[in-house]
Amino acid sequence: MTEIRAAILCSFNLDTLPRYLGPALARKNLPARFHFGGFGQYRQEILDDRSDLYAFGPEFVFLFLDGQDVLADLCQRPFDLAPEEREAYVDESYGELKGLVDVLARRLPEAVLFVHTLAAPPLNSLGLLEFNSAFGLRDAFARFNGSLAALARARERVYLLDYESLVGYHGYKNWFDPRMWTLGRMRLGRMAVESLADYYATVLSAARGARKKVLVLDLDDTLWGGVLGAEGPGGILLGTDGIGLAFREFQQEILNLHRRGILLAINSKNNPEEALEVFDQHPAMVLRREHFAGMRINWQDKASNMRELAQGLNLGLDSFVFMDDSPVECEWVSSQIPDVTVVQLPEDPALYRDTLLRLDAFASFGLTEEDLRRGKLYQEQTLRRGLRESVPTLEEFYEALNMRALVTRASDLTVSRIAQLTQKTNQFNLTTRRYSEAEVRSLVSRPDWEVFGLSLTDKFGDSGLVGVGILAREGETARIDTLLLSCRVMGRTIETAFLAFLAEWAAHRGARLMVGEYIATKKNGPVERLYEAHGFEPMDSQGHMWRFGLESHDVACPEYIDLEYRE
Amino acid sequence: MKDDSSVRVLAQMAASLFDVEIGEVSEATGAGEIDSWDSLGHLQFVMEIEQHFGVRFKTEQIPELTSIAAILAALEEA
Repeated sequence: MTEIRAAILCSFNLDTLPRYLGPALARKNLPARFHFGGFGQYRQEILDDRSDLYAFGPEFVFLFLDGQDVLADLCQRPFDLAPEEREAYVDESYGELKGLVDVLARRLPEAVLFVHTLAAPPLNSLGLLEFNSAFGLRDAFARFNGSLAALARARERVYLLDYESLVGYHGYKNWFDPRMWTLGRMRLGRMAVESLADYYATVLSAARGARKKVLVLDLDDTLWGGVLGAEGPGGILLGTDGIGLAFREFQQEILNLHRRGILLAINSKNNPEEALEVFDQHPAMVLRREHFAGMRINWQDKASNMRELAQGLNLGLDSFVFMDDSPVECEWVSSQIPDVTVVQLPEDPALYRDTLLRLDAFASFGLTEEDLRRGKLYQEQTLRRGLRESVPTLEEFYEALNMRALVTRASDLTVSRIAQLTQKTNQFNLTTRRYSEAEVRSLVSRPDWEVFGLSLTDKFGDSGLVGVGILAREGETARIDTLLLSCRVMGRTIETAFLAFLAEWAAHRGARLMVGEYIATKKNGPVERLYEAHGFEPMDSQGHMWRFGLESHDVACPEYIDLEYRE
Repeated sequence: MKDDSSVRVLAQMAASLFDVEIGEVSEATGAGEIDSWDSLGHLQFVMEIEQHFGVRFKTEQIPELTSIAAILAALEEA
């Protein structure tokens, strides 16, 4: 990418900015060179056609004039001026700025000019008189900014930067540092300088047209609260009550992006029919199927899904943003496809909307008719084209997770969690047998039965007890009465480790045959082929009963899972 | 607050901000010995120190913090 040449002209000492601006642009991969105008010399630089500014030949010019400089008399001694004089003063100051903008536009006809709006100081001499007396400070600033906005709309290469919102978001009190003003004629505190650098990087990146085009979203705990496969459509959190409201408002903000031309897509591990039912029928959903240009709802890994989405939409992966609540999924996608901008959602869903609003990946200075129609266009194309699926190997990723699975026999400490898992788990549950705590205890006490719990730890922390396996010894056969995994840890081949353990345990105690059952439910489609995939042979044609000879075979535990058994 | 680790942190900050070798900065180092520790560099240094140590110096105090020793003393008071 060619180097950006930007000039920054400021009405006060902004010499602290360069230190932060370089890194901020580097984070966006925008190589740039800058010209910083001398402190308080912006007028001379603009008016003198032999100034360093013109010698530099910028393609972008930032004009950052602070309201307290531009409207200094009004801010410092408002009562010295009668209301009519104040108005005239504002118009005169604006007139001067307009003159400078015109000179810049004439001398740098190719350059794009960014002009800050003025932020009215909330702490000023008027106090309660604001709006309660003729033409106060806020009236003055509003008039100035209004004129500026009209100017920008009339000029093709002049854009306004809403400085008032930038300051307001961070808080005026934190933004300005009176000590720096006193000592160095710098108005901004450290946080402000750093935030301004980020803001300028956003502006330049948007001006270069580097904005992203597609927002790809997870479903569970992203678009709604809870796990659809576990809670069912009626149990997910979405609506106007409690935390459900946070998800709804997040969805609305996503829809707002769609309305301004950002393409939406889904990349999630769910049962597709179930998820689509939510899109089509859940009364609280703001987002509907027709808003999405692509959907990859399946059990394959999310990096492959991303690639397929990109292929389907015929867009480069560098124009994709991916949002997911899971650190594992985020890391996987960004490790596999560094081009994708990956955003991990904060833990608290109430902050989802702000996270999206603060994301500058979709920032742009203009909306074209095409932008507004784009979402629809792509959706139609997707409907016409079928997308194919592929499954790559995930081993390196699993390796990096440092998974440690600990299998223990059910104990007083774990029976209640084990019972709870048999009650709640729907997706990764081979037989969906529900047991109460008392029933689990009675199974534990039977000599021919074994109840195991599996706990998982990985680099992201301890997931706790997430798997249950129950074996029933029937002569030389060990029957797997129950095998389940919490959906939190699905898709990481924990089941293979668990099966390897169960097979080895049974073989050690003299079993010659292991039998697995699959009882189909509406939810457990993902594990329909589990036994087949692990080398079990069918005992019937319905895929219900499966057998595995323990003398001739064993199940290999994946090398990247550290499996341990403790009595 | 004054301990070896504070000296190390200050030396690191000064080295990166003023573009000198970390070995050149010790408790005895002052603004006079580092070219780029000028008035702008000084304010930037103070801002970084405030951010790192979570302190806020008084305006009149800031111009006097012109040596690592003076900064350590001020941090101790803060």
